[in-house]
Amino acid sequence: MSAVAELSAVSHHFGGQRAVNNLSLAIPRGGVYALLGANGAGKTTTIALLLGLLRVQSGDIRVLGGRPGEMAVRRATGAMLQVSGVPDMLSVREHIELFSGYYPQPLPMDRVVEMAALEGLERRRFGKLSGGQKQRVLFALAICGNPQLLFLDEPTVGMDVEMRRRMWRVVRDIADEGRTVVLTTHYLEEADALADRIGVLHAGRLVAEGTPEQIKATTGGRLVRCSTVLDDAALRTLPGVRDIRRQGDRVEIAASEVERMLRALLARDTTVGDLTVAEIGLDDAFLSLTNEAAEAA
Amino acid sequence: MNPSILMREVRGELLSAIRQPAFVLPTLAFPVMFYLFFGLAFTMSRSMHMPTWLLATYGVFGIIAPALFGFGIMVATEKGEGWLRLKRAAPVSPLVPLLARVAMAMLFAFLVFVLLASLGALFGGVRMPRADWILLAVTLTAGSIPFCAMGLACGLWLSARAAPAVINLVYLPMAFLSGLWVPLPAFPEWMQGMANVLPPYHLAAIALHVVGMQPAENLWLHAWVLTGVTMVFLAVAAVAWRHVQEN
Amino acid sequence: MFPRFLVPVLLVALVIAFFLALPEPRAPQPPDWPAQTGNSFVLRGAQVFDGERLHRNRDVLVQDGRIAAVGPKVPAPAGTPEFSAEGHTLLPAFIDAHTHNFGDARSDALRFGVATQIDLFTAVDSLAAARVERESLERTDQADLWSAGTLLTVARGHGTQFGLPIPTLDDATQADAFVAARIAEGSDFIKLVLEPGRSFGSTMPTLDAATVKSAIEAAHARGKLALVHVSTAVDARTAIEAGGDGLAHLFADTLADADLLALAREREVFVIPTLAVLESVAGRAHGLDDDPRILSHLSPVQRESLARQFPGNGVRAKLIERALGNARALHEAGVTLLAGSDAPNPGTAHGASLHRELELLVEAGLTPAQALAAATAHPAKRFALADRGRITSAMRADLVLVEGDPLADIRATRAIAAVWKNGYRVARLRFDGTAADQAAPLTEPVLGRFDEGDDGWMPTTDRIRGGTSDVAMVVSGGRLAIDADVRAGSMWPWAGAMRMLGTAPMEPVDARDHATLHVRLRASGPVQVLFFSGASAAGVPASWPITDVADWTEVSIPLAAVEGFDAARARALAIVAGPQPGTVRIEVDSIELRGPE
Repeated sequence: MSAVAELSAVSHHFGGQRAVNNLSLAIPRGGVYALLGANGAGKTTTIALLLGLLRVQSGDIRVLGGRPGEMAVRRATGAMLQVSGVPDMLSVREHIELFSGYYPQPLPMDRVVEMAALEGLERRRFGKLSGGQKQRVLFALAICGNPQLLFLDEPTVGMDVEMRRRMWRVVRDIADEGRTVVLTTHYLEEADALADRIGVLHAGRLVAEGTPEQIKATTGGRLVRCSTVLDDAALRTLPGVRDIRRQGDRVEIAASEVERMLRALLARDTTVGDLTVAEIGLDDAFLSLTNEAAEAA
Repeated sequence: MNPSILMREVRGELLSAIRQPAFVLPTLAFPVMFYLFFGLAFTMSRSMHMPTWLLATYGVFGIIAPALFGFGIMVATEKGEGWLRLKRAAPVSPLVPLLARVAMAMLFAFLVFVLLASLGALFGGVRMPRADWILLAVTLTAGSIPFCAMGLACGLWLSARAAPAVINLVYLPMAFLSGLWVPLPAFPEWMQGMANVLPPYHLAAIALHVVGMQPAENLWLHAWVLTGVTMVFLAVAAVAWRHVQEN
Repeated sequence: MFPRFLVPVLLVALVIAFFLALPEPRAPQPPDWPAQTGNSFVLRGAQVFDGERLHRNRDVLVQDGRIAAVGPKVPAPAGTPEFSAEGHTLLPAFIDAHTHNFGDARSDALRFGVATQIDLFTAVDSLAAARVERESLERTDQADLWSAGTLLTVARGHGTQFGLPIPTLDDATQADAFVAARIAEGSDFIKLVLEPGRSFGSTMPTLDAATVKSAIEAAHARGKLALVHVSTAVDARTAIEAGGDGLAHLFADTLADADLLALAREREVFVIPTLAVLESVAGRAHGLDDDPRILSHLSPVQRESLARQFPGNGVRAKLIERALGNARALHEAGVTLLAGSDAPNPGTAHGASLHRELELLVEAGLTPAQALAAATAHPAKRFALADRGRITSAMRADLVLVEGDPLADIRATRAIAAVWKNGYRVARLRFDGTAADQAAPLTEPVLGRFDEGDDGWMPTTDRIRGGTSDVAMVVSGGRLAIDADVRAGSMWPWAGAMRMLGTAPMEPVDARDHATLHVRLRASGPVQVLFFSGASAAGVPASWPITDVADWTEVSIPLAAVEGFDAARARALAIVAGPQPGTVRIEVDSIELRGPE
């Protein structure tokens, strides 16, 4: 399995602020690669570096066997960036036509319109579209060139659930044709639903990488909320406990083997009350991963 | 560079510009209105043919707006909205949209010429040898290039919010002080001196010579000044462009 | 669906169409033409009547006073002034085949486009100069002159009543010697008078048939044409049978019969009907004084002449009808008619009346083209005037440009836009007080300092008028020294020095901004300052006497006090001795015009 894109020890900073820190990453050919991370984790900077929008300050990047931003590379690349607007006065069709023209072998207009779910909107001017519709136009511009490598920076922001699922299917189809999709997201759910591999970024570093299952295994488990007389030190001795946070008289315990932990807890403290058990959310997963990263640093 | 890509890009620029009343109306209506009002309705001097004189100067006035606004404000806006990033990521040379926009500005410049020339010929009694008409059209159309460079530099430097204010602040006083609204000889001498440092004054001097209103003094000097202005603003734009690439 | 590939084609076509539609400045039309100083130019885009035929949109190149080329697109040497004359018609300058040369006749005629006058009786003393001038290509404001000189008539016959003492002849035996004397005097052809006086309501003696025949033979023997003045059909037959080449006037006592018409045709005589004067004899109005195009350029003398009437003209109203009828009959019979006005008889004026004659010829049945030929190519051919009357290469550039198309309306000949004589534009003076065509203002009031050369002064004597006076002129020591030797022998003797006021010789300038002429001079005898001015360069100059200047004196002459000086048309100044005979030394230190103080 060869890499379509590879970052080796890449660092990038804006002014004094370090956005990407000694990042090494290999994106394999084919399938969907999700860059997962909170806002400010360095996802967008990484994408910009891969697209050649930013000059490489240190380290080395190779994309599709070339340097990022080279014309040959750009001809095989599509990108959906976080853009607040494109010229309002051109219609959906005119925008797609213009972008298709840049590529040597663009997709037919009908196919692009169908894939981006823009049926019936072709003649509407960009300025008259809703936020979600605008996102789909940007998606159309990214795919219209039939690229080998597709970058999607937060592609489903502002879309409703149904539209998001439709987009996922399209992205999945593209990946299944043997193309490579690199997407950034802060929805674990999205990464989980789409990605073949996930790289988790925190503060410009890669903190975890692997299949969704591998990631979930490291961050997985459930969250137990309850009131207890035990102190944190005592709680940490319980089996499978990963993290403890106090909220007033209640405590949140993240645990990988929640049943074993609960049995032990109830055995040690008979006063446990207000007990709820929940799946760990995305934020919690990141939190745990990134807290670990922060502690390791 | 693929010519058909450039043609499509020009078409896009044109459609985009034409559909914006906020761009079309001021760029076309202002010079026409001013010319009708000052050039045709009033006759301020008997010693020179005002409709011919002002055809040259309002022509210059008219071609500045599409160049300055088309580049300055539109580039600043697109930079702000991220559109510029998307274009840079797309497999197209940044020269293509640049040239397409220059073409758009020049087309609008030509349109301004067509409108003013029609008015001057129909209502102002402007009569020139055919070669001079063509030369005036060429002067005005090509004359928008220094202002494209000026607009590009502003658009790349300024934020989308600041650009319209700054450019309007430059545009109107510059036009006035260059003698585009009222012929320079009507100004006090210290004001006439100020015109020397303003690019529109130099383009107007060439245009006035083309329409036979001024002798051929310093024709090359004016042309060199405009070339120099273009070079300086392009250099400024290049620096700004690097800056854009690093952020 | 509109084919897409046509869109750029259509756009380019639109742009080209736009540029083609943008208005160009009209080339200046004749009223706005810049001044023409030389005698070379090219006139573009006029329709040209070459004397016989019309050509549309022709260029005419004139070089050094002669027509160099005529064609649709004539290239001109670099530097040749170009004039556009679209909507105008260029004609050969007219030839008036019947005039009498008096006073300002020749400049009056030229102002109206008549550059050649055929004179049929005048004082012979003017002929010698005229013979020289008509061969010249110099700038002039005078029409050229061919003349019969003294006519052939009997004592108390027609021609003796004008107060000019002329020799007469009594019988055929004198004819040969008489004709020889006329030719020796300078007559270009011979004119005989057959006038029993009936058309003037009286009877008078006239030549008999034998004398007419002898005189005509004498003229032919010397290679000269013989023209016969006639007023009756009988005399016309006599004149033709006697071998006359042309008839002056149209007999109008009766309508011509077929025999006479056939005879005239057979002998190829030409007839100068002079309908303009016959109209006046008949008392019919010529209408010239109602036409502003004519009126504006009539001098007071011309106006007066046009207003005069023949005594008792009312009783001869039928005369013009018969004359027009005979003209029509002759024309239809194939007899050549020539345009002649008989100016300055009562009711006619030099130049102006030729335009009326053209109109009357058209009334008599000639087409406008035939009428124009009767005033251009035909008289040139019949009188053997080699280089005039037509617009072709090598012809003298005597030209008239009129606005409009005289071939459609003959009266368009009156809308004269320009007249050229010998290739020079003629300054057409106006007499209606308007600014147009006024002389340019005098710009250099200093006429002589004599510090660096003669400042344009040149010797002048009465020799140009047949006198014998002499002059020597020298510039030295900052002074102009004139040694004048005035001799009796002409009507008005003089000798001295002269200076033109305009750029061209005798060109008028407007000196009205100047009040006085200051001359610092001394002279051993009486001198005069002569002021040449007015409508004609040939007019009598005004004079101002200066006496008692044996020592250096500054003389100041108030121009307003110089009687007869037309400051609006000042042409030249002269300082001369005369008319008393004697030698006078005149020295001039400075001479200049000064404005009002």
